[in-house]
Order: sequence, then C-alpha cells, then structure tokens
Amino acid sequence: MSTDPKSTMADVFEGRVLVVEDEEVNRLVARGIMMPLGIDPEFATNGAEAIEKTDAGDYDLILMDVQMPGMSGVEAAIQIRERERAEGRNRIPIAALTANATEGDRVRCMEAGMDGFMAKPLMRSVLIDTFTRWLGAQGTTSEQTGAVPPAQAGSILDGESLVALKASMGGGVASLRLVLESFQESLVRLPADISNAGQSGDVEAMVRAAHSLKSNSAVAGALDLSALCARLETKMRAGDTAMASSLILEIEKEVGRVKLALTTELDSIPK
Amino acid sequence: MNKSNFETMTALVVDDEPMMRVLLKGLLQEIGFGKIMEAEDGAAALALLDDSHHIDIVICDLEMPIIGGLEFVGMLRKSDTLYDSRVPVIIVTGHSEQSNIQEAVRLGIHGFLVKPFSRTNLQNQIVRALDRPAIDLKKLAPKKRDFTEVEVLDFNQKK
Repeated sequence: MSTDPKSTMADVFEGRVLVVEDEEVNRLVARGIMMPLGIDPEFATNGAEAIEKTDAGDYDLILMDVQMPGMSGVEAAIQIRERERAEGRNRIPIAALTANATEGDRVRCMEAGMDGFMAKPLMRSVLIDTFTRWLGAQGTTSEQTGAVPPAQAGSILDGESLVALKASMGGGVASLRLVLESFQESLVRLPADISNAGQSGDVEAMVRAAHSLKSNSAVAGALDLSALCARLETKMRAGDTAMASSLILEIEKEVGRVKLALTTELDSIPK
Repeated sequence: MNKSNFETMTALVVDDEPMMRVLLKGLLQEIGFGKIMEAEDGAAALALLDDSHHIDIVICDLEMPIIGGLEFVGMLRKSDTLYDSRVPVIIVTGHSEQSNIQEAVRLGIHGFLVKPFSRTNLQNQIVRALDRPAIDLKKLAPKKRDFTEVEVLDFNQKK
C-alpha cells in the first residue's frame, strides 16, 4: 500500500466509476488508491447489485470482480450488455478484476462483452493505465477536481483509507473528529463485549461484537484489526471455537496499537 | 439539488452501531439536512415514523438485531397506520448475500449504498431517491421470468 513519491499530483481523473467487489477490505483498498486519483468510486457487492446500480446510474467505467458469490461477474456483464442494447443506452466499458486468469477465463469475459482485464490485487499503476484509457481527462491539478494528495502509508491505521475517509466526509473536520472519537469509544466497549462473551460462552454476543468492531475498524482504516475481527466473526458463525481465545488475544494486542495510532491521529485534527 | 434544497427536510438514520450513526449524521449535516433523527433499530424507527414526525427520507442499515433492515422495510410498507408508509428508504449494506438486496428491493426501497461510501455517494442516492419511485422489481429480475402476478408497489403516487 505504499505510494510512488514520483507521481503525486499529475495523475488525476474525472468520472463515475462503479467497483463490483464482494470483499469489504478490497473495496477499502480500492477506494484508498482511487481517491488520490480524483475518483470517488461507488460500490456493489455482487452481480445483481451491479445490474441495479447500472440501471439507475450513469457510470463511465465498471470494474467487475469475476469471482463473486451468487451471480458471477461474467453473468452480470452479459445482463448489463443486454439491458444497454434493449434500452438503447451507452455501452459502459467493463474491466474484469481477476486473480490468476486462465486463457479460458479471458475468452469467457470477452464473450460476455467485457473490455479488459486487471489483475488482483489492484495496483495504482495499473489503475492509472485503465483510467487513462477509458476516462481520459488526465493532467488537471488536484485543486480543480477535489482529488486528495496521496497518504503517507501507515501500518496501524492505513494512511490511504484515512485520507479517503477524510475526503469522503467532504472536508468536514468536525464530523471526522466525531467519527474517530466514536471509534475510540468503541475500541473500549467492543473488545470488552468480546471478552465478556468469551467468558460466558455467548457465541451470538461475540459474533455481534466482532462484527461491529470489524465494520468500525474498516471505516477508520484499521484494516489489520478489521481483518482479525472478520476471522473471529466467521469462525464463530461456523461454530469453530477452537481458535477463539488466541484470536481474541491477537485482537486485544492490535486494539492497543490502534488506540495509540488513533490518539496521534486525533491530536493532528484541529478542534 | 443544492444544499438549500435540504434545509427544510428531515432525515432518519437507523443503525444499531453508534459510530455509523455519527458518520451518517455528519454526512447528512454536510449535505444540508435541516433536521436529522436517529433510531438504533427498526422498532425505534417505526415508533418515530408512527409519531407523526414528518420524515422525508430514511437511511437504514441492513443488519441490525431484533428488527433488522428487511423487517423494518416490510413492516413500514405494510403499515396503514404510519404517518407515511411510503417514505423513501435507502439501505446501507456491507454484505454480498445476493438475496438480501433483492429482498429489500422486493419490499420497496429507493436505493442502496455499499460500504465504504462517501458524502457524494450518499447525496447522489438521496437525490435519486427523492426524484424517482422505488426500484422497479422487473428491472432486477432475471430475463424470461414471469412477474405478472407479483405486485409492484407504485411510489409515484407519493406527492
């Protein structure tokens, strides 16, 4: 998640981009890379959502994960193309997001009416090439488009996610402070809930607390903590309690690190 | 639609997680809503809607304990006692269970937002929701299925 220091302001684009991706952490990373490039993406989590979003909105580009639960990216692309034809709408470029695509995968994506491929995980340089090809309008400065400068990458609180959060709040410093303070409060409350649920063996309460901590951490850019909570939530939902206590320990350690990083972050925000 | 259009409007935020309510409230304030109400679950939201508050739009989390987003929308749309059972609803979701959003659409929502979302994403959804009827079920349905027997609610009649 490091940023190339050589290209800070030059690569700025304009356009409405829909990213179809089922994993929240991948969506956060995508947003973290795109916001500094001037793109404020919208998301869908599966093929059916992508079709609805495309029907309702005007996009300039769709990035479509190919492997998703439910309707696949290929099937969604076929249906989007059918609707575009039936309703006489403009053909929106669709780029497939794939990890380890085989030649057969490529052929199926092309036959479905997709226009290109991007390897997962997403890389900034590849996104710049993609945006250059399909969005054009490159070379404006960040002041003109509202793009934000790239973040200093941080390991505890993901710098790119935090910058994206700030930008997504529309520059409202007071609101950002309130959100982070609320996160700070939940860093006390939710680990205690998890630990209490562990002691009383209340699986449902643990799933709930882990789920909340996962979502809150994701919003604030604490991606490692979010991933740990996601693992706990998934294991508890599956009834797999074997690793719970060691995961809870890891979560508690990471919570300590996030608390420190958050205090520093809050100190840097004007009151 | 600029900021002043929202000044006289009231939004209701329904989310069990305090941090998400803070986030949504901050974004709605910046969009320019004159009044923002909060509820921590579907039951509290229904009580507010039942209390003759004039609410112009509801932003509701999908996954909440007891009365979740789906149950909330279902109960809201079926109610004949609520102040306005056809108030526009935007669902917030972070999940990819396909049935969820389709079920919400079937019940009658005006849009959905996938996490993470920005102020611009939220504002676009709100403008669209205030401007159009609920998502048309037929548009989401796979081709060749017969929906003639399914009742599609027409929220065009609202104003």
